[in-house]
Parts: sequence; C-alpha cells; structure tokens
Amino acid sequence: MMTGQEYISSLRNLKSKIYFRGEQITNWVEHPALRPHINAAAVTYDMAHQPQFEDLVSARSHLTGQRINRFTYIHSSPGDLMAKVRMLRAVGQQTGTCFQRCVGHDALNALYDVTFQIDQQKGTDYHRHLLDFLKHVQTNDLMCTGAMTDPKGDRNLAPHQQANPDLYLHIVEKKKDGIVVRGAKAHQTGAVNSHEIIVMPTIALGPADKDYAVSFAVPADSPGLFYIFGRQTNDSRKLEGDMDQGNPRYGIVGGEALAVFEDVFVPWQRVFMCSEREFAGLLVERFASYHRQNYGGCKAGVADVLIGACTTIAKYHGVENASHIKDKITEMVHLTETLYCCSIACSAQGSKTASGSFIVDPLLANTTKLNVTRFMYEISRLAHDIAGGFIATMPSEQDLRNPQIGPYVEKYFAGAADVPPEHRLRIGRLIENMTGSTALTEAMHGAGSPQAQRVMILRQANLEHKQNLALKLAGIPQPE
Amino acid sequence: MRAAIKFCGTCNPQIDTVTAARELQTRSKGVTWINLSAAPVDLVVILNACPTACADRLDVREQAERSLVVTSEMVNGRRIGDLGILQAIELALTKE
Repeated sequence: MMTGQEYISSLRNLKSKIYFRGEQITNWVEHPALRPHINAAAVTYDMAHQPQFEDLVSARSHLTGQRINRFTYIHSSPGDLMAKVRMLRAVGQQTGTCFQRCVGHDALNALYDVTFQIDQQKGTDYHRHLLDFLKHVQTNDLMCTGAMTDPKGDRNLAPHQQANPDLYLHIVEKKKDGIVVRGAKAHQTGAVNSHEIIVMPTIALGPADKDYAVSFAVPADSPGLFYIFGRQTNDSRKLEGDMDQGNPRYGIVGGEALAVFEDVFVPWQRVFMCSEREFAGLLVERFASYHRQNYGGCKAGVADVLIGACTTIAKYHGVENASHIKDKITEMVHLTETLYCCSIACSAQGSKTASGSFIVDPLLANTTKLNVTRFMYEISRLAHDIAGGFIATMPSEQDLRNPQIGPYVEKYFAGAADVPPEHRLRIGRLIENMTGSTALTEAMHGAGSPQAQRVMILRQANLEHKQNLALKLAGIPQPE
Repeated sequence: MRAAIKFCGTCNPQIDTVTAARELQTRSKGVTWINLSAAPVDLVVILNACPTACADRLDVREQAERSLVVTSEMVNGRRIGDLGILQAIELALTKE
C-alpha cells in the first residue's frame, strides 16, 4: 500500500491535462487550487498505515490475499459494508471535508456484480476484464474516480434525441482492438488527482440509445482526455494565504471537474459494458446505492468536526453553558447520528449479489442520502446560529497581520479574555467555509439529486404489501 | 510475557486509545511489546474506542494465546467505574 507521500509523488508521473480559469495548469500537483484536495485524498493512503485506523482503512484482498487499502476492496459481507461507513467517518473526522476516493470504490463494487450478470446473460467477458483491472488497482493501490453524470442537455429528451449527440458520452467507433468514445462527465470529484477514471452510463437506456450504454476504465492522462476544474465559493482564497480558507490543508468539498473525452481510445480489455443497454439501469442503481450509503459516514465525520468547531466557538464567546447553545449542539449531534444510523442500517441490511459481493439495502441507502440533503443544511444553519454573524463580516488575515490595523483587529475581535483573538478568527473561518454554498450544494446533489432518491424510495416502498396490511386490520377483504 | 496491541478502527472514539497504548507500553513491567504478526504472542490487548468493540473478533483473538478486551466502559467484561481506563487495564494485566 502506498503512503500519502508516495501517492502524491505518483501523481507527478501523470501527464494529465487540467485547465483552470482559462489556462492549462503546469505543475498541477503543487497548484494551490488543487493541492488541498490532493492532500485530502492522501489521508486515505496514510491512514491505512496507522495502527489506530488500519483495521478500517485496510482489508485483505479476496483476489490476491494481500493487505490492500479498503478503497480498493470488494465488500464480502454486511460487516464489510459497515466497516466502509465507519472508515468514511474516521477519514471525514481527519480531513473535515470530502476525500474523494469513495467514488471509484463504489464504481468498482457496482461493476463487480453487473459485469458478472452481463456475462451470465450475454456470454461476454466483462467480468474477467473487471477482475484484471481490479487486480491492477489493488496491487498498485491506485485511486480511481467513478464517472457517471453526463451533462445531459435537455433533460426532457433521450440521449439520441439531443441537439448534440455528445451531451451523453457514447461510443463513436468499434475497432478490432477497442472502442472510441466521445462526450463528457460532469461534477467529477477527485478526477484531476486520480490515477484511473472509470466511466459508467448515467441513466437507464432504451434500444435507440444502445451506443450510450458504455462502461470502461482508462488512465486519467489518456490521450484525448482533459479536465476543466470547477470554481468553488471562496476559491481565490487558496491563492491568498492560509487562515481565510478555514481548512487550508484539505480545502472544501472534493474539487470537481468536467472530464472531457475527445475521441478517447479504450482497449477491449478495459471495457466493462458495450451496448448491453438492458444493464445500464442496473449499473446506475448499484452505483447510486453504494454511493448514497456513504453520506451518513463521510458527512457524519465532517459534521463531527463542525460540531467541535461550534462547541469551541461557544467557549470562545463565553456562552458554552447557555441552555439554547447546548440545545443547538444537541440538535446538531442528533441530526449527525441520525445520518450515521441510516448508513449503518443500509449496510447491516446488505445482501449477497449473484457475483458473491454484497450490496447495501437500496431503500435504506436512498433514505440515507435524502436525509443528508436536508440535515446538512439544518446542521449548517445551527452552526451559523451558534457562531454568530461575525463569520460573515470578519476582516481578512492580511488585516490581522498588518502592523497598523492588526492591533485593532485583535482588540475588537476578542472573545473570552483567555482566548487569543486569532484563534476565534480561525475557528470562525473554519465554520464559514465548511457551511458555504459549495459544501451545501455538494450535500444536496452529491450521489444524485433529492428527486432521484425519491423516485428510488417510492419504487421500493412495496405499497401493495402495506395496503394489504391496512385492509386486513380494517376488516376489508383484500382484492383477488 | 510477549504482548501485542490491536486497535479498533477508531471511527468515532470515546476514549483515546493511542495515548492509552503509549502509556501502557511505557509503564508496564515484565511485558515485551511486539507486533501482533510476530508470533508467538502470549496476550493481545484489544483496544476498542467504544462499546461496539469492532476489533474483538475471532480472527484477532486467534493470533494470541489469550486476549484482554478493552472498551470505553469495560475491561474483560468488568466495568471500569472510577478506576480509569489505564489503571483498569494495568490491573487486568497483573492478573495475566
């Protein structure tokens, strides 16, 4: 297994093409816009080597018998699914933000079963391709990104009906030695600092859309593949200094990019689905279930940090014993643990797939994520309430360091007398940045938008059974 | 006695197992602390940071002759009470 430093060094071997604010970045590993996200991902590597975390962050490969990073592991029991959630919480507590590696992990697990099922029905060889790729990932301890979301264009139209056929990624050519694909994948967390990109379709597909039913993996620096790194709230602060970023070491959210595939060649041995459109919906559901499972783990870890920050700022303000403050902290903990409960529940109720791997309970996984879309906003609202308005008005780090006005900043931003004013400002900045627009939007839309979860929840609600329960108790004969 | 420490995953710790392990290894007499993989191991101290005790598993216990299971509330099934986690572990160790 690599260490964090080895992971960072390995990125320097990649020739990835990354654009940010109109320019291609050279020396992108050191670029201040990207480096915090790289540091966050590096934590997933380092924790696998630390004795107090290795039980969660590492596991034994069922393919090779070797100790591997759990982010490359295939779940083989409900216990494994729960361990994943605990791992995500543990890492979230250390980084205070998204650490990106779960997306590729979920893609590997989703494809593990779906390729098996395609092969069973169609006589294809995709599962062997996946196993070979998985061994490569496990042996080299690679970070993969899982690329699902297409730009989609007019959401009312199917992929083949779009004004521009590239608004959904698709196959443009099938050759003897592989396929050529064109399109883009949006909102790709951690793509710029991954070794491999795993692509999947984003929706169930009809017969006319079979060329959009494609799944594969390519190195992140493949010819024809480039990234346009997205802007975030307050991202120019990464270029200005330390304190005003709030979490300067690990940043906010994961660092997302548009990954553009301009006629990228994929060798057959890296193809996991090619026009078997009947399985596109299953792959989407599998991936979405695994990914929605995560949020009660990672967001619980992040919320733990936020709760700690709010408890601290209450102390700095001298109000930690005020009943309304304690009440608000209690509510933050309640909401956080409810999210965690959901993730553990969907894991504990996991079931075995045809391939032998384990999948979470999809109804409970979607319940988890739907709760996250609401609770993180409420947790953040409570954080703003506790922290006070100064988090939206405080002066910059440059003002604090200025010899003339710094003393005024120190004097008038003092809290309790025994607390250095800089500490109050620092914790205020952490709260401000952890609860800003980018962080909230990620909680809303990461792993799929709320309506997607509602669709899945209703689909699995088993309403007929529930109706029969009610009819029976009301003494009404059940329909034939 | 050859003893090893096995941590749980520390996902949401109620006690500081890292500090507890360090203090234990410094203070305990007559114990040679080794890695769990360096057989033979007379005793494995399974340090769980909460009552769920994820590290208390057969595959962990099997790596040593005997086990001493610690959670945030109990040592080998006995409540820590007023003793403090470190003293409770040391007391249990002297009985080994």
